[in-house]
Amino acid sequence: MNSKNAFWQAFVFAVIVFAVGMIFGFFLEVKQNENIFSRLVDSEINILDNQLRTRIVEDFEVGCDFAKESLFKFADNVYFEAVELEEFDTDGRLSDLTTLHKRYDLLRTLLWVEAKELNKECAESFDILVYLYEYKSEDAGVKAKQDFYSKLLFDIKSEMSEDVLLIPIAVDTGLSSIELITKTKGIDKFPVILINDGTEIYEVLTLDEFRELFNSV
Amino acid sequence: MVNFVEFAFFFYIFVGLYLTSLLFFIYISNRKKLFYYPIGKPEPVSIVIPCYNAEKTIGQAIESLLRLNYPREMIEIIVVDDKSTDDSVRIVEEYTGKHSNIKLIKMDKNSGGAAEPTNLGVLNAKYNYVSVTDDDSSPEPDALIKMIGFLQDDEKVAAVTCAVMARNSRTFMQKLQNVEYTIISWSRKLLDCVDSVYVTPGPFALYRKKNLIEVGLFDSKNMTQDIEIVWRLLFHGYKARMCLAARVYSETPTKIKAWWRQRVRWNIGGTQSILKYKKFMFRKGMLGAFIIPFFSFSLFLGLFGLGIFIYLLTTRLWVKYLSTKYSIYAGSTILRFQDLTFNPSVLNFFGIALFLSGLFFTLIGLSVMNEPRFKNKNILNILFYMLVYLALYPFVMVNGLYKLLRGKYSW
Repeated sequence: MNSKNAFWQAFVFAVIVFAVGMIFGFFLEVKQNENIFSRLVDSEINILDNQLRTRIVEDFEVGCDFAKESLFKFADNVYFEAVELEEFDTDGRLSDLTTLHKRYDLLRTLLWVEAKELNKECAESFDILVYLYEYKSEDAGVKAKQDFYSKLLFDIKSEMSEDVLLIPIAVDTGLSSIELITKTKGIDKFPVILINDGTEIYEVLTLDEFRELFNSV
Repeated sequence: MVNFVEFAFFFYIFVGLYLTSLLFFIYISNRKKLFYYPIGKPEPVSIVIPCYNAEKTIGQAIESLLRLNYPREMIEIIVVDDKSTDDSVRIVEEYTGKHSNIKLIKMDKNSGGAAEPTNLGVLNAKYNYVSVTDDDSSPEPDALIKMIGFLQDDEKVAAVTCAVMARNSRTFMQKLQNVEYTIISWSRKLLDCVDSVYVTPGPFALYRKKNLIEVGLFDSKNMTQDIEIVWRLLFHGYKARMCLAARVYSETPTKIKAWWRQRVRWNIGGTQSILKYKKFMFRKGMLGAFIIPFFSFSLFLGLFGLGIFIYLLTTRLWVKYLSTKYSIYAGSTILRFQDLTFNPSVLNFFGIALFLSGLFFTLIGLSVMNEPRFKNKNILNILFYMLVYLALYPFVMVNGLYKLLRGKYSW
């Protein structure tokens, strides 16, 4: 063999290995995605379940305590499913999870609307904490604040799981409903935490300062 | 979805995979003749030693030349002192007093590099074959006789290099360089199989005197005159060969500061050579088809990769710093369990595959070279060499480029 053939042989070999690696990578992701896709099916069911639950609460005159308990349980499920989803959303993924993310954002927006209704009917017995953030932001300042907020809200959720309903929603996945809400409220800076639809928080607060903003405390 | 930075990583992985595969393919088709050398017959050789402040090593260097398995009357040793300020001259004079074939030439003033004293030595050489050796190097006794056959066998061969090995393995830095030198020697032989020897390192190389003079001798402005001379010989249509069966042992820096200084000089010299020959990219045989693109591409990839690495590292550290600062102020959680979870992506698997192929390549190289010091391979040294030592190179490149741009560099 002429050694100079090694240049193109190595190229062909590298292309084959690379292609096999990519195919292997896709299969690997497909395996990981099986878990995610089961969530996707869940999210479809969740959306229907939520719509149905809202009607049941209205039509069957379900009491505030039951309705609240059901809503919080549902919100918890959605929250933890989304956390799991984010664990899979790592650097270097070949497939895009934005669509799945959108579904959860849609679901959480529905949850927000329902929670507002229920809270009105139940004499504001709980606090609604909506966290609007940017899913695709590359800005270091925004990313740092979002990292901080997600930890702070995690603490709040752990501490006041029965009184505070936490609804994180990404604003940059292209959902028109979310755009409508943010435009109506005049919110154009993210991340922001909305407490009971009134207070908007953009700055860094301590846990104590944060607690004081809730009705239920 | 894959973004620009991730795409760049995939590209790096592909290039790494290609280069490793290339060397493997060359090795597979040439493995039985790596240590081959044409049997040469002894012919007179002048050996030039450029010497500067080498009182600790020059005696050993001369002794090793006197021990060469080569007819004594066919060897002329020319030590060219570059105005040493230590005891080097006195030591060399002791040898000139005892051996009629050893000659000392003293430069009027220090030239600041090895090229000028080497050129003076070459011009004063009596014989048609000229060997150049560093003042801190010791060729094995059979090195010269194994190398000379390459010049006698093919008129177009103008330069022959051999395996440069690290002499000592006392300090950790030297142990790492020991691995490095061994792998470089092996890789250089593999490149020889595709006519791409790009350097005849200073520790021990053999040239045809008339070819050196024809192309204009060593470039005293270049910081790595041993790289530049080969490129010039190739440019003039000559060939350079590598004799893996011949070895020379050379001193290596014991401390990181000296190591850094040496590597920066190598990088400056390499970059100078790229700039000088850039217009011959993709021309002039393997010089333009492989050597210049390989050097240029390595420089670009090293600097670009370092840029990406620094960007990612600083951005992530800055985000973590700010977020932690906010969390401390707020009295909230700093680290959650979910922050520690790791779901490997395709990129991670590719990275691991590339690392393993690099490790495999290194282990094969050490095994092929059969260096006694690697009989009990210290895998930790090899891993450190691959993960940390090699990662320092882009930083050396930046420093070298900075010095080159400022015009502030010296030997």
